[in-house]
Formats: sequence, structure tokens, C-alpha cells
Amino acid sequence: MLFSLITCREALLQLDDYLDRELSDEEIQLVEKHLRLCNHCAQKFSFEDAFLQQLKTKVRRVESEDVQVLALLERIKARLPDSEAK
Amino acid sequence: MTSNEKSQQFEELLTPILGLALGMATRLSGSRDDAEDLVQETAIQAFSMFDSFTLGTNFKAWFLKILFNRFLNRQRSANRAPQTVELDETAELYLYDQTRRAGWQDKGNDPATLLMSKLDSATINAALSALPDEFRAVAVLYFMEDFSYEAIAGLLDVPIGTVRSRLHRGRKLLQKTLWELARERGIAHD
Repeated sequence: MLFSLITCREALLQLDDYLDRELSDEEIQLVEKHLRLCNHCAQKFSFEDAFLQQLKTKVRRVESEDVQVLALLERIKARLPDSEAK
Repeated sequence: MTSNEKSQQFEELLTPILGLALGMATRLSGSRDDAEDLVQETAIQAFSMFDSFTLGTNFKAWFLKILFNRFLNRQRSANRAPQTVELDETAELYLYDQTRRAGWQDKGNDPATLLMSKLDSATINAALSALPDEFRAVAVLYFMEDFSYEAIAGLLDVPIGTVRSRLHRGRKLLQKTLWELARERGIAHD
């Protein structure tokens, strides 16, 4: 049982891959086992996860209005050969 | 297929992804005008290559690959000085450490949420636009569409390890930039 535990250093080295869901199932289990036992690391993981999720939300906030996208589409269509827009 | 049918088919595939392409191009180029030019030029190039696209496969990925390659090639050929990235000893958990030093954890707040609530989308996207080109390309694909390392590697024609490295280092740089912006605006203090 002891040999299936990882250290704080090992867990933190995998933090980015864990948050990106790029670890194997076995690696995920080892990390999560460590986080259940180590509040210090759990706080760090929680912080980084919250930061990433909110970063994604704000980056994705679409400022392109439909009218702008439609106008762009019309300009593109006008440049396509034999487009009905012509 | 007639030329008109080809145009129609292309338009039908392009229309649903155009907003996303424009959003990504804006974050890549940092300017709405440049982004619209990039998307237009990409669409023209994509149409010229449309015969090589297999209907039923992932048009979005195919189109974005052309867009990102176009952007990166343009940046490389602009004779800009190579963008160096400081290989400093910035801590792995830079923002976590900074908010701890500022005592944010002690106040019973969620420090990540607290910081992000005070930074608007425009600021965050400006920080994203300030990343070096190669890092920015990976970050935009990751943040906007949650692409996997493998998918990003395929879109940018780089090894998965390179994607991983650029994404992780890019996030570190973003944390540093966002904290500096927070300090400049009086949101955070050392």
C-alpha cells in the first residue's frame, strides 16, 4: 500500500497534466489518493484548477456580435468564385 | 460538383465556425482588423484547397489548421527578432504563492476567484495576446476549445511534448502578467 503513494513533489510535477486531463487512469488515481491525504497539495490543486476554469470562461467570452460575423461572411462570400453573393 | 455547388457547400461548412475562427484570430493577432483579414485570407486559401478536404471529416479542425499555420508563417516571415522567453526561476505556482504572500488565503476567500473577478475579459485577452507567438497559438487553442495536447499537436504540426511545454510555460507567463496587471491597477499588493 505504501508503495502506491506519491510524494508532494511528484504530485505537483503532474499538476498541469492532471488539470489538462492528460494523465493515465492509474496516474490520476495516485494523484487523487495523495490529494485526499495532503491538504497542502489539495489547496494548490484547487487554486490552479479554479484559476484555469475562470481563465477559460473569460477568454471565451465572445465579443464578436452576430452582425460582425455575418458581415465578415458576406465579404468572404463575395470573394469566392461563382458564389451566389456575387 | 459544379463550381456554385462547391461554393455553397463550403459556405455551409464555414458559417457555423466563423465566429470561433474570428475569436481565435482576434486573440492571436491582438487586433480585430488584423483578425478579420486573417480569417478572410484563410477562407480564400481554404476554398482553393477545398478539393483536398474529405466531406464528413472535421472541417473546423481543418480550417483552424490553415488559420494557425497562416498566422505563424506570417509572424515568422515578418522578419521580427526572435521572441525570447525569460527562462527565469518563476515559481511553478506563481499566482498561488503571490496570493498567499498578499494574505488572500487568510481572508477566507477563494483567492483565484477573487483575482479573476477583478480582471475583465479585455485585460485577460490582452495578457494572452502578449504571449510569444508560438506560446499564444497553443494557449488560444487550449483555452478557447479545450483541445487535447494531441489535437493541438496535429493542428500546429509540432510534437505533443512541445505542446505540453509551451502550454505549461505559457500559463506560467500568463500568471505573472496577470499579477503584474493586478498590481498596476491596485487590485493586488506585494
